[in-house]
Amino acid sequence: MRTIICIFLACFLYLEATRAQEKFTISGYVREYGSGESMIGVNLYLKEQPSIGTVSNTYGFFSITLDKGPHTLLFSYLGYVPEQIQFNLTRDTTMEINMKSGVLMEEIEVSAKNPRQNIENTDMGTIDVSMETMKKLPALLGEVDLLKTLQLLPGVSSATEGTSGIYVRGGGPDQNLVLLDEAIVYNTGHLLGFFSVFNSDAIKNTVLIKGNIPANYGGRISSVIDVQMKEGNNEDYVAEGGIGLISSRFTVQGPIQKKKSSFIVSGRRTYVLDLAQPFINNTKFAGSNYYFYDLNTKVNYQLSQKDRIYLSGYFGRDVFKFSNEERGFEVELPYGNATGTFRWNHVFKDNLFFNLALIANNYKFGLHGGQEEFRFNVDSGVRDYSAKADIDYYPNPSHLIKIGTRYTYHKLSPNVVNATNGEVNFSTSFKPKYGHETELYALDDWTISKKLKLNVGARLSMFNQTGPYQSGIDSVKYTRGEIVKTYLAPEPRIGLNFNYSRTASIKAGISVSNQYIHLVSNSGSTLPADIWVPSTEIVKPQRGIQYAIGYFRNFMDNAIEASVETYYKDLRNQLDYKESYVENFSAEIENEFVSGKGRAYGLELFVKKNKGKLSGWVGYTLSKTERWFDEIENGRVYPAVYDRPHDLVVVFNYEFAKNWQVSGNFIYASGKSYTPIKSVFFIEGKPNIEYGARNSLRLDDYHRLDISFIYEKQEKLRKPFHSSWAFSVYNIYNRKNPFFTYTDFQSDIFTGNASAKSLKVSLFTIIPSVTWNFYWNASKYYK
Amino acid sequence: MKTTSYSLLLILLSLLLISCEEEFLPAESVYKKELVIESYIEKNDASLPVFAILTYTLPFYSSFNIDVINNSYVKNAEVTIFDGQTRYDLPQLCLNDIQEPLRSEIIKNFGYNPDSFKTDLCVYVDLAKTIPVETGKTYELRAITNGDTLYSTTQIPDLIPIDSFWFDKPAGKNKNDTFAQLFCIISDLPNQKDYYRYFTAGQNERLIPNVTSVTDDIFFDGQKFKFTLSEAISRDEDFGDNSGLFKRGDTVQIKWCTIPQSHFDFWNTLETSATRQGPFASYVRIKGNIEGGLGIFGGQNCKNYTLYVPKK
Repeated sequence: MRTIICIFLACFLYLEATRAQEKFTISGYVREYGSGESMIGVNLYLKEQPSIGTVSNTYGFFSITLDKGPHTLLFSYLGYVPEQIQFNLTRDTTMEINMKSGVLMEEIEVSAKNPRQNIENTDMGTIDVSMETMKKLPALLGEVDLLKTLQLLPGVSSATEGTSGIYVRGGGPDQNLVLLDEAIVYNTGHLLGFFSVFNSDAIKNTVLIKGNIPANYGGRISSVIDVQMKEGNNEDYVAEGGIGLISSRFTVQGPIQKKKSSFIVSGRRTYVLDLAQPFINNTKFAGSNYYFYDLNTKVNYQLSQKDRIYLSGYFGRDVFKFSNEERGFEVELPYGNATGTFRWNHVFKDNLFFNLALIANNYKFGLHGGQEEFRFNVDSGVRDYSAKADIDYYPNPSHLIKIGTRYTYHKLSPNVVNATNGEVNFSTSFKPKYGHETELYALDDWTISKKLKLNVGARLSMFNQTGPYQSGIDSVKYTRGEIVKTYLAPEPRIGLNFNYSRTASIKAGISVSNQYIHLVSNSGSTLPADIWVPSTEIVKPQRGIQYAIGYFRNFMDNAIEASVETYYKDLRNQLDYKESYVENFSAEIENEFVSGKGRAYGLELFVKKNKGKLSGWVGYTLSKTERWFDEIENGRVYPAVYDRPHDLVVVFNYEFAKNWQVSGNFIYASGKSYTPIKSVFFIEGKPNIEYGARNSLRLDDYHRLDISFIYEKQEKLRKPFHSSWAFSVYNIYNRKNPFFTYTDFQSDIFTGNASAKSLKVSLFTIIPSVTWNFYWNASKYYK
Repeated sequence: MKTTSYSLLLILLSLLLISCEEEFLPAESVYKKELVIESYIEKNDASLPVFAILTYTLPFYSSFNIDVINNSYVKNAEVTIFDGQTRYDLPQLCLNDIQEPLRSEIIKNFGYNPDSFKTDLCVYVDLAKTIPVETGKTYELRAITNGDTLYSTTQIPDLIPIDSFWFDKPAGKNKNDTFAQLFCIISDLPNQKDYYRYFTAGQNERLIPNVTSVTDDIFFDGQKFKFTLSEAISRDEDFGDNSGLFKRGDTVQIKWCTIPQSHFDFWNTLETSATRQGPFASYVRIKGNIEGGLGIFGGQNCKNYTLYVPKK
């Protein structure tokens, strides 16, 4: 450790020395004009030398150190009017850049974001998801969904139609690091995953990293989905929302102290079964209901030019109640996430940005119910408390150095069962498990020359499992805080960009990641009842190594971006349930796992058109995802349930009339793998199924086309109040994609009445929907 | 957890309203013929003789008419039971080879109605009850046919009987006087894993196991435990408002067994497999205890109870 610190110190001193040679730093924040929202990922570069540039960070902060003298800096971002700043740099300078949305400047054609960024940076498999694009796309039942939009990208798939669980480059659903304002979101879905927990009105920015995960992210081995909430308009009060078929949304934001602090409150709730209550209450199921809701809140305050604090929170719940008065039976199934993040940004120097974050999150799942004097409660969940510090250091335009640390205290509760039957109490003896996860990282995004860039970094992660715990190996009892098992792992990351022409580059990278918290699902998709478990003396940390190489090329003056990426993932200590596993609470869950290996490899083609009336992308993935476990079918290599050899997605948006846009997406994917029925055998005269090899056959290929039309009066966009209508049709040609299959037996062989058949259920046939969205802004700018 | 799964599935009901279904035929067949044995060795004052039914698996995507079923019985096999001292042969008995009224008598002994029993069931059975069945003893089963051998062992565990029974009004608003709920108390043995299976029979009906007929003692190890015992529902029956309740005025039977873990695992996985349907369900491979094939050789220590369900 001392050696590492010495190396960083030496680098720091060297870089400081080099920058002392008549160079000055220009730094500041990029904000949206009219709202004051900080803008993430804005590209800024020298007009006279575009290869010298940088990108604003998560908080909109930028810093670039240049030679003394006159310069012209260009700021560009998708959908915004480019800003050009001319200045004579004679000393360290700070400035605030306010960028205007192109929506408000219709006479100027807005530039694409960072026209050459995709070929110049070292990122691979990294995609910024524009909220504007997302809101235009067709949505199931009119519910705009971030995670379903991500599923339209190459290398990303869903396990089951309609669900928001995502699988990235052959990784499992628990292998995605899903962050909401730096807090980990353990459960990303409402209604069994059919809708994601992210309310589109509250989200500012989303980045998906499926390739080389930079060293400042860790804890998961497959991908990063980094979601940033809006900060709130610090200039004017704004209200917006939408009324849809199954839910409505409402958001209000505005300044607390103009230009210094702001707030945002955003809520969403479903009401389909609320509306049906009068009918339900006249049946024996009176009291039954289902709904979900989300509440996003955030406030921020600028303490000084160099200090800003943020406090944000998310609270979401699904509540399912089932009641049968006739039998006196009732059950309630509440579950959901709560997260809270406090952040303090401080600019130590013009080129040294610091962020401190204190984070808490809590995911709880409960099943409570009973009948008369019999009551039962099943509870599980995850509670984390984290502290995180990050430094972004911009010594000169050739280097962006990031260093940081994160500590997380985990408490993971398995299914703890408590029940009473009259005077008798009984419960499982399973106790929560505790862990301490500590990480250190450092990376340098280094521009070696005009044509060569290197992103090199490393992460050192450590996980301590602590008591109270009783060893399942030697029955030793550990007291509270006593260390049971320690895992320590280096996680090197490297990415290289050879930018051999103005329009093309070749990138390659290797990233190694460790994962200490796991979710093992015993179903075809993840469910809220699935249990997160920590690494223990029995459950080893997952480890993933990804190798990737890609060719990136822009056409037509950067209007079209194209890329070909190929990857290979080596996955170790993968987890699954034992064969014949049955959930009956009778064993410590970690004793029901088996550990094995996996691999995933594939080729992704991506072509995207950013400019013009017609925009969109085409993505195609050719891939294979496999797993093998010594204790499952004697180590036979089998396809993962989310293995999709072929996956084609076409997404488009076309402004075909003044007030009308049409958007659509077409998806074609190989059928889902499943375990076929090998034979039937009879026990006690009843038929039973013997299954064949795991995931050895596939259901029919999957395809569908969704279309949406958006009507929005352009001349009203500049008025304080405007609204739009979104008409969507999901699966417009009514393709009957198999959602699941089940068997139907008519049986009693002794009486000679026996038959069996298998049935295929298509859940989402053609589904139209309509949503009305509105926006009100008190700004004078609109008047 | 099963309750959890059911509850989660209920959420899907509204979505299922817009779904459609059609018959599914896989692109290819993966059928492979395998041997299956079903054999029980039971200690009980009213036990059936030790028997074994030997069959072949059938392809799922086919018709199960009488001929197919009759042909699935494996005949002329050599089936033996070894109790550690003596090896006993189980002679073959096919119903169609037996004259009336003996045929009907045997079918009745198995709890079926002779008039509706159509299959030419072939069993290997110790009709004379020559095999001594003792608590704590281990038994071996061996079946040899056409060069294939099936082998298994099982034990007869201690019997943990039901201490007491009583009927009471059912829970909820079901206030009619037609049905009653059965309550029981058992004294589970401490410091050992115990496994239970039960069967019930309504008046003049045969004993059948419930759709979930087995449990372990994870929640009540070593305790004097009160619980409700539902009238068994067959897998083919729909769950109705009065399912699980006993009809007042009837004389009913309960068969309560303790079983070894392998026997529990078999039924636990089989019953879960049978109910594991739906969009998020994954398959459950039935965990038998037969080397060389599928099925179960299950020891059980049982006691039968005859109860009258009071009218009030």
